[in-house]
Amino acid sequence: MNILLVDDDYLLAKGTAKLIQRIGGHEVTITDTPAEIFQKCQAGEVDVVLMDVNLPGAIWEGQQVSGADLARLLKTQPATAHIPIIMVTAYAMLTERKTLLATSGADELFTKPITDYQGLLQLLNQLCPNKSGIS
Amino acid sequence: MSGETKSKNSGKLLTEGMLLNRMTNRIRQSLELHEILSATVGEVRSFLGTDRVKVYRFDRDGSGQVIAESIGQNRLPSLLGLHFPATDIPPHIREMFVKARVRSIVDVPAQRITFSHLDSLEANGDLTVEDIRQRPIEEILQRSVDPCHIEYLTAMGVNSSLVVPIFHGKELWGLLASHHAEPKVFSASDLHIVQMVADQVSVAIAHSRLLSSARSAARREALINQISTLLHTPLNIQQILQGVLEKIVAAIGGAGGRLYLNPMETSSGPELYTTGTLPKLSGESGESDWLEYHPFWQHLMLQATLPVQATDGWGEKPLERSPKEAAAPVRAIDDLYQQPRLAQVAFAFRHTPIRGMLVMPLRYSQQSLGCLTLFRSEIDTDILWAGRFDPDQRNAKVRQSFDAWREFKRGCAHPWTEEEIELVEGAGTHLSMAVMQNRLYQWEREHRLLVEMRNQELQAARAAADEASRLKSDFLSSTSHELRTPLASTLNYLKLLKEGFYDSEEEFKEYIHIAHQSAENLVAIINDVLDIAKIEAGRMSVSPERVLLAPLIEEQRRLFNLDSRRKGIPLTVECEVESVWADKVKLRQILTNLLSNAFKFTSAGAVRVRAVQRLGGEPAAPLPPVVDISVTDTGIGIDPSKTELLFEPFVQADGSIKRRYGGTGLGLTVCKRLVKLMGGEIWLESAGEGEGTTVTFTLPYRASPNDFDTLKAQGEISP
Repeated sequence: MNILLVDDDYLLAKGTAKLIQRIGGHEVTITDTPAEIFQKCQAGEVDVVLMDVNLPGAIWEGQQVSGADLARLLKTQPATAHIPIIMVTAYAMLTERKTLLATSGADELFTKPITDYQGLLQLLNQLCPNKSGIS
Repeated sequence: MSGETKSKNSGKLLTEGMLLNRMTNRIRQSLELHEILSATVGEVRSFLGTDRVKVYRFDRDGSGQVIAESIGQNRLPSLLGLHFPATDIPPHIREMFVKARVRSIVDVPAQRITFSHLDSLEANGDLTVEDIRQRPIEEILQRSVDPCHIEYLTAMGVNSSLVVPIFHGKELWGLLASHHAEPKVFSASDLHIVQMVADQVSVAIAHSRLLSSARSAARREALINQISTLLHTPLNIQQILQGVLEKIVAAIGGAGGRLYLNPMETSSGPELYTTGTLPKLSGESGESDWLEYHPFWQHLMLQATLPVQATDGWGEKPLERSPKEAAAPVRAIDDLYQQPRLAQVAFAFRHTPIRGMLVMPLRYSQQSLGCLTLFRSEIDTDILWAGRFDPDQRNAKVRQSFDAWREFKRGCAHPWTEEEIELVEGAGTHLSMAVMQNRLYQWEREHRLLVEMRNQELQAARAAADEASRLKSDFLSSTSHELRTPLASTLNYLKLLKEGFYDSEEEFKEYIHIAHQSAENLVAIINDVLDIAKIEAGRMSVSPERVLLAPLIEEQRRLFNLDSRRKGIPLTVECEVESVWADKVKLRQILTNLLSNAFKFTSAGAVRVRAVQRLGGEPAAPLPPVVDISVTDTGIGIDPSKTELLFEPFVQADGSIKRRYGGTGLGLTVCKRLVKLMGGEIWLESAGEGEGTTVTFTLPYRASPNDFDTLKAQGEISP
């Protein structure tokens, strides 16, 4: 499957992408620009989005946007609403997680830093049952 | 008894009855003593058929005055209004009037005096005066007339006299006297009637006294009503007290007055209200000049706070006024020049006409509130004496003339009367209550304000504590968040290495490098966090010493040499200061932090370190010199409105900066706290985004303890 990894820390994202590719056999694209996210999603190049919550440099239509804002935008556009989104966050508190899920409209939350790659891949497979990667 | 005598007697009886009836009626009809007495002397004279009947009233000092008189056919000269000195009716005679209640009938030609005592003599039975008791009563009653008295009466042109004492209670109030130019014999019944008239006069006097005391009570009540009304007006307390003081002074006809109020516990100082003529201790008007600080007043005020006392504590008899003394120790001074306790301040009164003084300590319960002092001017008296007399010559020669002699005396004390004292007492008590009420009100209000202030302080403190607690948990949350990123990176690359997920030797090395870099970043964050935690907990200690600046900066220059060359950014140093007073390790840490920021955020241009010395404080009020150390770059700069924020933990002007430039986000926070610990300040300046940044911090300049003075003496420091 084609995974879009949205993260502004490139080195961290690069490591994460490599691990997902190597373990799950999925294609991972890294970006932190909203325009690229929308373009790729609308073009049908993305099967699932892994979205970091904090994107301090992300600007969309003149406004600073967070990962949650971008997720909501994707979920409210007919062309991209079907794409599963997993929010990746370091916020660990239950109430924060609930609020985040509700405001972003994302499908799942995953804790950052990602250490449980098997768990992440299982989750990816559940969300995209027909797009199993290269085993 | 012959018929003639009988009818004469019955006629006489009728006259007696009529006289008594008329007297009684008059007394009932009028309350004015003067009217009653005038009528009485007229009636008595016509009844007795004598030449003159007069009422003589004793004054306090034993002298007296003829206050009512009736004269027939001008056979004797009028004595009405004339005063007679005390020596004219000596104490032993007055005593005899009192003790024996005698009436004397003097037959001047016969040189015989008859004291006919009343029935009450035995009943009264209190002939306590020694010389009277030890003598047989007959001797007293039948002794011959003092030749001097005979001469006295003769000089007045009197050949027979009848004197009946008039009492008010047990006190000898005056005399009802009848004089006749001819010898005259009075019958027992005549005497009896006159005695009964005198008794009626006593009743009239009692009524009159009641009347005047009722009148003065009414006057007092009126004044107190006025004061109460004033006390409840919506004026401020100062205006009210001034008004009350003026009213009291006016009510007693005083020359002036002072109302002194002790300082309240919570208020600033004592208060003083004055009106009218006042003594002057000195030319100044300061508090030190106040009469109330004189021991006389201080003693009275202190005394007022003590429980009921037997004496006034000076070994002196309290005022002649008795039981109320304890309740309100008003001190009435008729003549302040006669009061030894006031000798020290008497000079202050010299330029004033003040002679009398009334001092009332104000108190509430056992608490002294202050003191009310009223002044009264001396008066000029004008007494008409019956004949000029000289006390020394009197015994030698009896006055031959009773023609009115006018005595004019200046500067007499004007004694305070019981009524006036009571008036002031009443008013003073109301004043005390009003002052106390006001104080309680003020105290309550101040107390309430205080409580409100404390509540506000508590709320502020709680808000601050809440804020601190929130900041702390925010910091903790941020910290844990910030630690996760390098940790995640480290873990990612270690996992890639561990799983063998690399395709080349180059990739392998890159992964190790990234993992290592991330771990170092993690350690840097942890170190900064620990520093901040240490400083916050007060466990960060600084050991300031004299640090030579040039070598330290040179050390930094070498440290950043690599960055400088790699980025092509020259690092220039301008060090105009030899040394600073600082903790060397902390100073190095600060410089490293600032230089690292400067190189991090600058892509082209230069970085400059500069150290200069200047005077601390304002130019007008210079403080010991300080050293300004600044690090200037030509980097990304910052919106000037955001410069303060940068010293907050984990804040960078733009969140994306951190991703691009790395760093812990704690550098400036740590710097700020370290500088503060060393007694300096730090600030950041930038003209705006892209305009470069200058961070400056100050440190004390103190090569040696006396440096400031030395430099100043040498003129090297000019404001």
